[in-house]
Amino acid sequence: METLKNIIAFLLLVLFAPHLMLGIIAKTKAAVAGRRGPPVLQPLYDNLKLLGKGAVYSTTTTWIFRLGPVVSLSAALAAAVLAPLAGPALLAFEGDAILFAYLFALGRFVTVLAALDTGSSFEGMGASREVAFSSLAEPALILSFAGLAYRAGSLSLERMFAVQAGPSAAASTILALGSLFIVLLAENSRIPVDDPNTHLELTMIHEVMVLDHSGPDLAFILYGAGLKLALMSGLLVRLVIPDLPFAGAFGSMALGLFLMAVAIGLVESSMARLRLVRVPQLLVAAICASAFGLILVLR
Amino acid sequence: MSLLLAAVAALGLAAVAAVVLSRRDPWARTLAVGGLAVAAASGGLLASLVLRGQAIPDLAWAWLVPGAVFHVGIDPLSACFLLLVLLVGGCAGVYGEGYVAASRGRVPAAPARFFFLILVASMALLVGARNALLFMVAWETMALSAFGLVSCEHDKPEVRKAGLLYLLCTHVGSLCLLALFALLGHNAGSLEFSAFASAPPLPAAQRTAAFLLALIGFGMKAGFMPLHIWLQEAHPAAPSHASAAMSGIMIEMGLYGLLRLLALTGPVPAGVALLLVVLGLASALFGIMFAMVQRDLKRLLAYSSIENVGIILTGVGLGCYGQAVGSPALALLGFSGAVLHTINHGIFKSLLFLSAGAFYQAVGTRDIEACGGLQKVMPWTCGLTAIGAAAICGLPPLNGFTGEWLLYSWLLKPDAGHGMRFTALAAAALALVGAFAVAAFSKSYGLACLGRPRSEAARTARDPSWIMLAPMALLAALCIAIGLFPQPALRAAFAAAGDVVRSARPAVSEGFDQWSRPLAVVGMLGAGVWALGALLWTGRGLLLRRRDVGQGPTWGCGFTAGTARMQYSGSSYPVPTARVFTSLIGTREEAHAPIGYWPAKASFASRTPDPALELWLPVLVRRFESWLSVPRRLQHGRLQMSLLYMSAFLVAILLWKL
Repeated sequence: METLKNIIAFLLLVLFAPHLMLGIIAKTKAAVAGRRGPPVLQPLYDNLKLLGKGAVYSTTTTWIFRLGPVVSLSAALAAAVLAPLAGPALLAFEGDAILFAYLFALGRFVTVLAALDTGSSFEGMGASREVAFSSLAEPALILSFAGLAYRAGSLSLERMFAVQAGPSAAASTILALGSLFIVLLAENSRIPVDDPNTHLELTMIHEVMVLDHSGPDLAFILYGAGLKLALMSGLLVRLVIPDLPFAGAFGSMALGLFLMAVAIGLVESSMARLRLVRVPQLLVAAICASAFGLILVLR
Repeated sequence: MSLLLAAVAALGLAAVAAVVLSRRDPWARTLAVGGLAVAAASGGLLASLVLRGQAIPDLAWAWLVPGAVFHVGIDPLSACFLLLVLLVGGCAGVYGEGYVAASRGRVPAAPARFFFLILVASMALLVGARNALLFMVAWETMALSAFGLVSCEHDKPEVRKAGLLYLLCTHVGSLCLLALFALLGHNAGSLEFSAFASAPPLPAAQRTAAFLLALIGFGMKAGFMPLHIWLQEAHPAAPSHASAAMSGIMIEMGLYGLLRLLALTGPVPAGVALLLVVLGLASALFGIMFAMVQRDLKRLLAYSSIENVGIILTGVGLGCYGQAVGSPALALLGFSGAVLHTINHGIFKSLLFLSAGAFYQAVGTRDIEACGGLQKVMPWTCGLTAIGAAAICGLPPLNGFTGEWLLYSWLLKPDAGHGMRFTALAAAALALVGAFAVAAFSKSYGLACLGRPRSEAARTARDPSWIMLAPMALLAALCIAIGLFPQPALRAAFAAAGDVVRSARPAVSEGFDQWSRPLAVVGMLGAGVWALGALLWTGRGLLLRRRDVGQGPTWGCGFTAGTARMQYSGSSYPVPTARVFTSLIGTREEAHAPIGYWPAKASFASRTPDPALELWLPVLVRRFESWLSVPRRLQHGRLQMSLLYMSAFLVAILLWKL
């Protein structure tokens, strides 16, 4: 019974949280700007519509281009299996944190290849920037993981991402949270690193890589990107919000994801995209924050 | 044991046949492939017996050479490397037959075949050698046959230069090894490996000397920074199947030597272990950074070998550290991570070198900037390259991830508690290396195979013959298979690690059980990724079946006359990454920007000098030259004078002994 409940919670979160989070971010931004904004479920409608559409492929592309969205989505889904969202993860073992991080690297690799497959200079530019920024985001991620793993005494996401009491735990939590939040913004192409809404190809990173995708491929990409956002947010939520007594594991996670989406929306409404040369500095700041958190744990 | 000798003999006979039958190419070719097959079968059988736990008695014959015994033996450590040598050697050898035939005389057939077979034979003998002199004989044969391979196309001046550079480096390394074995042999009173193991420990000063000699001797061959001097020059110069064997197995012999020495002489102090970790990580980081900015496909791969050797060396260092702090479990984990990554690196790196050779032959250049769009015209080669590129980045459903995962597990092991504060930083460095690898190999594969063809040759390229494709397909299949079922490779790696950590025999099966379970889950999830991918692919096909699927030009932002020259190029792609780390890489740029309303000619050039060849080596060489100018007067280049010196030396020794 418990397992069944767990699986249902997992399916609900994996199927709906990505779309809802994107919808809530858009809604928050609209509210701050004094607009009404699209419905919260708009990303889901968009995706369903895209799934029913045909596709246009560039004559330059090969099967790599078609494979990109498929592999990046299946990597994200595999990562979801490892993520403890509501209750325990479906699959947990010592060292799953590394696999989690590397599955997203797989997704990035195929997305970059699909972008290069179009032979477009815009998408080449996006690919080139993506690998540059991820090379700084990756150490920040692993350093935060290291700190959390030493603290929890385990290299499994389930035990690393759990609320811990005590003043020193609070300090290291805050530092890991800060670092991982920056990594989350960078990896999910949000402001201040990237702007998912701009229509100037020259300023984009992730969005410019997927310019040529259409139809079901684009739906896969949008869903995969949303899932990545939801998974990373879910981990951060577990770091701060315990299982609230009145809401249960699922309810607290849903509440946490909602708050996270609002927070991202507020960040996006309150600041502009950084100049590209500034982005590495932000990511280095994330590395420093996670290093400090690590020192606090190791002390 | 006779199986090992049979393997070496088969290769040696085939090599002789290559020379004798040089006029009858088809015969020599059949014999070469046959020799490789026989060697792979007998050696593979022997290795699998040993890895199953069967003890094979050593074989020792008296030998004419004074102090030497023809003593061969095999244990799991040797078996792992033997398997790798024969697998990669076999694949590269079969490919080489196709490659040399397709080169239309550019690569001379008989010498290439002879040196290649001798190279593989010497490495097979090397891993079995149990006597220092036999080891050195095999080592030198390996080094010289590799020189023969590097200089195959010696009509080109840059090939001659690379060959000489390699020869010099390998001699320096061999000299160090000779001194090392003299030191150890003097201490043990015999040149047998078993005597080294039971000898009393060296005094402290000699110990340091021995360590430095081993580091330089084996390091020069393995090519970690800053001893990588010859690597990035020799690999591009050699024919591709030779580069594959050199990069996939020959440089690994340096690591084998290091591991064998550790197995014989026992633990090193913690400080030395840390030094190895730092050297390894520095090598990995700088190797991949330099790989990223290369335009020459094989040069990029050569730098990436430096990176992977660095990762392996990190594992060796971690194993030593585990030994130094008295934790057999950590020692085993480190060494087995190193051996597993060695196996994986041998497989995917040789695959990538073989495919680079296919591109070179099809396009006529190794410059990434002249390729592009090859996926359309060379679908098989490019598809296999894609697998190799993903594997070398250490991405999950493939084999590269398994070894790196073990090292990460070591570094982030929370209950280590040996005051190992450095480990998290090392893990971050490893993450940085992984991210750079994605940059380097998305570049090498993405820009060479995807997009639009950048030259006429790239437009008309064709897949090579099946004799070249089949070995690549086998290697790619192994990349996938080890990724899905890592246990056999892990078991072999643990058995080999058990040989290095002599005190930890009982911990071997325990350690294997502990780490094979999570790694099995990794493989299972990898299978899940494949299955999900297949499912989504089918779903996508079903969704698109009833819909309009159109074709059109790539979206050009309204601009409709885009050309292949407007794509991102091999030089521009890594710029955002390289700019961040520019102080470390030292890329030099020379730009003449267009100025004014009617700009004249503008240009841009960037160049990344190699740190060893252009920074520290010239300084060192100049210093040496000034020191050696005095004793050089003794050298006349006349044979008579050299003979006179020799006899004078002998007389002097005789008098001293009297």
